[in-house]
Amino acid sequence: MSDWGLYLPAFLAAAVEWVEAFTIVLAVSLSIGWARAAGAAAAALALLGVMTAVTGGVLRLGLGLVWLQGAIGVFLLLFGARWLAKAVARQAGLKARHDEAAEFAATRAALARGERGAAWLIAFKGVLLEGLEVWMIVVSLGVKAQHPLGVAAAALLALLAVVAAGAVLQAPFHRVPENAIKFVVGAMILAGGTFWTHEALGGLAAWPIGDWSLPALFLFYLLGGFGLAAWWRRHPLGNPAA
Amino acid sequence: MKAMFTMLTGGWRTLGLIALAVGLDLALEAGGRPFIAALLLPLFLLGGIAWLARAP
Repeated sequence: MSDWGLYLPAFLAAAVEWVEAFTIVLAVSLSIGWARAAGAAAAALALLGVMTAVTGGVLRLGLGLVWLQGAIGVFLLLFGARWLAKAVARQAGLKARHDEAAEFAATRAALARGERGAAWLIAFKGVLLEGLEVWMIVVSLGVKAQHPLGVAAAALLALLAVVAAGAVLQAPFHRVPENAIKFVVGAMILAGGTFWTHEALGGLAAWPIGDWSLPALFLFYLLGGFGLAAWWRRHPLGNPAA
Repeated sequence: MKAMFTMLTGGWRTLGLIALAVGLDLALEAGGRPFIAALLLPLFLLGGIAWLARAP
């Protein structure tokens, strides 16, 4: 599999998480200033960078290939299932779509009651928690890549893109098609997780159509997810016969 | 800790679903049915996605 097939999901997944982290840092910056808010974000990013380097190295050195593939597969299954389920629920109208403006307002309201130290901590924790998802993706995909630094670079590029766009707009992102991105990335990651988990358990010949199974799985999950969402839109819950 | 657990696993429902999926795959592989496992695993996971999406 070409590394480009790993860079794209890493970039898109990271971009979605960085948008959420940026919203929190932006709200905090209005309370304690840009310098301190950016400092908190930088501290969290430095910690994530160290975690990524250490865990990536340990995984490569410490596990046999089959175990590594199985561990990565399960990580990706956990992550992809959650993302795709959220995207389906939002597309179907079962859950409210993520609203960066509402999150921005909620963070500002929380800060109005807090102190400067607490505000710094909110920015730090916000970037750290959103960044943990990026870390999981980068480590999982990076171990499969021939050039793992390329996967980390894709996530870093997404961060730079979000910061650059945020600096221009200086406002929460309203128009990022977050749910559409979550749909595609969720299906990509779930397909990768399914493929590698089954291959780790059953060997290289475990898939009937070999490497073509990966794009087939992606299409299956993407179309299946859209199908579920469309069905629930037409037949709302509690009225299955409608 | 709870936030970290949820961030890494997606919560107990997601963790349970994936554990069952891996268990199903493992059982079918051990029973010498890798191709059936290859068909059932994605179907099981898509069913799980439907369940997770409707969960409160």
